[in-house]
Amino acid sequence: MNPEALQRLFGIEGKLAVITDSGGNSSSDVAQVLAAAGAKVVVADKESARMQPILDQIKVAGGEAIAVATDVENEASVIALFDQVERAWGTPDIVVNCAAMNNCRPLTEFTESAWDEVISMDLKSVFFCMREAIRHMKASARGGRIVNITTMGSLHPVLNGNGAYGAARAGVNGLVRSAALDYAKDNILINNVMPGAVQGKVRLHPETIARLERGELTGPGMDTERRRPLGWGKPEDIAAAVLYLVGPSGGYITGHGIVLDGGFLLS
Amino acid sequence: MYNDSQIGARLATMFNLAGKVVVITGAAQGLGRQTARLFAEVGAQVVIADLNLEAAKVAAAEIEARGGTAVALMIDVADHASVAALFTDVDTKFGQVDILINNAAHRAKAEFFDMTVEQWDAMQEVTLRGTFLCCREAIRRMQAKGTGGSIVNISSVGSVHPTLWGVNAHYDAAKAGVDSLTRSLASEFASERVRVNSVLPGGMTSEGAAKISDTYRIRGPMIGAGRIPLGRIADPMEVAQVVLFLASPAASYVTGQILAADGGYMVS
Repeated sequence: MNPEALQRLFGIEGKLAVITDSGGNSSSDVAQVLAAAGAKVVVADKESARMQPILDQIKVAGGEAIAVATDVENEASVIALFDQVERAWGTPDIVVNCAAMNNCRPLTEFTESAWDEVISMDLKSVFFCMREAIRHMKASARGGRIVNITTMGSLHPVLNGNGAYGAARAGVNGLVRSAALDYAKDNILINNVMPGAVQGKVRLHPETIARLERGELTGPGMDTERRRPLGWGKPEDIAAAVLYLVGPSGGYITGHGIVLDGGFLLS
Repeated sequence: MYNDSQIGARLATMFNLAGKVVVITGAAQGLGRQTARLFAEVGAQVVIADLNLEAAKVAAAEIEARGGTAVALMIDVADHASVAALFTDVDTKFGQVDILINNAAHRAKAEFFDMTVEQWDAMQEVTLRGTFLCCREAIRRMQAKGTGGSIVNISSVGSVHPTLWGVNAHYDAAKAGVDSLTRSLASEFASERVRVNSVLPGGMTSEGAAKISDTYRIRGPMIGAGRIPLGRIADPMEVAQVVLFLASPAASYVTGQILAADGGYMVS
């Protein structure tokens, strides 16, 4: 193995990365992997208590990280996040949007407010974070990389009752394609990572957790024997895909999604 | 409420193929035969092109007996001379080709590890190269006449999503090639008003399909319980109706597309 070659291909030494939703979903793994690859990391979550363990782990491993309390569903909070990062450490080179919540229930039971909650969390928050990231990256004229962690469910139904979540996340796919086209000239590359069955990495709405515990969740994704050719994915699989997309080797990919589904879509 | 004649008038502008000449390959049985019946019912003059001329004659006679127009012609789509001869025959008989349905396919299964290169080649020659040869002959005529035309390639849901394990690798690869040909030709000849689309059937209750399960141990994703959300495989006429839509003026702005008639298999 040639460590220099790996550094040249995948290293992000000295880059500044903002990662939303630290502690939930895939964000803790993403934060630690990007820090280990040389980036300074900003973790942005609504709850400070969730962020501290991530900061501690990164610091113990010899990395640099700060936390900025952020509500990604609140426009002013997202603007403040990027302003604060700019003042403290400069313009982010990398933004990874991990924040998400899956509220899975039959469409006939979805109220307008429940629908709006899903769209706010799973689509609008990504719009806020991408818009602010792009504004700062354009102003710096150094380009940048944005990766959203969405879901394979945006391409193919996984669970029954994913109408709202699937629509919101598919909306992110559309947002990514449009923004990738618009800002390619600014060397801002924007992609998605779409995990399938990666254990414990989707934040579930409390009612969805209750449904899961009652055995009420059904759908293609629950057929574990036939529909997971490679079994469960590891949390690090998501972080590794992000690292590839934000590093030197990902320099010619924009507007796409990498599906981490262990073969589900072909099963 | 519109009355029946008003509804009929609108539908006729969308689906009436009176005066059109349609060449359907592999039309002596199964999906091809049902497609021929349907196209004849909406006024098309149908060329039943098949390797089995006797069976083609039976299919043509049935249409004629119902008052339609059909002729039976022999074609081996794997043989370029046979393809050329068929289209020359069609020139003589009808003077034009408005619609081509590439339905002929090599259906033979082969176990992946045991497959001979001859089996692989036979699949590509019939399913992919045959489609290419027929498309080329038809598009030449559509270009020359200057009125455009419509081609529908019968592909398979297997071109996009595996259906059976072990026995279909050569078939799925050939059908994926057909879909690519659909896109290439649609792009290249759109300016001459030649439309090209693919239809992707899932399982069908056709004669060809029945022979397969007698010979091979069929296994794979499509065989699993509950994998076809509509709960059944298709009657070939249900797929023929999709072919008619794509071939007809109703789809005048549709080209280069693949349309699955799979009972929901691809979203299950």
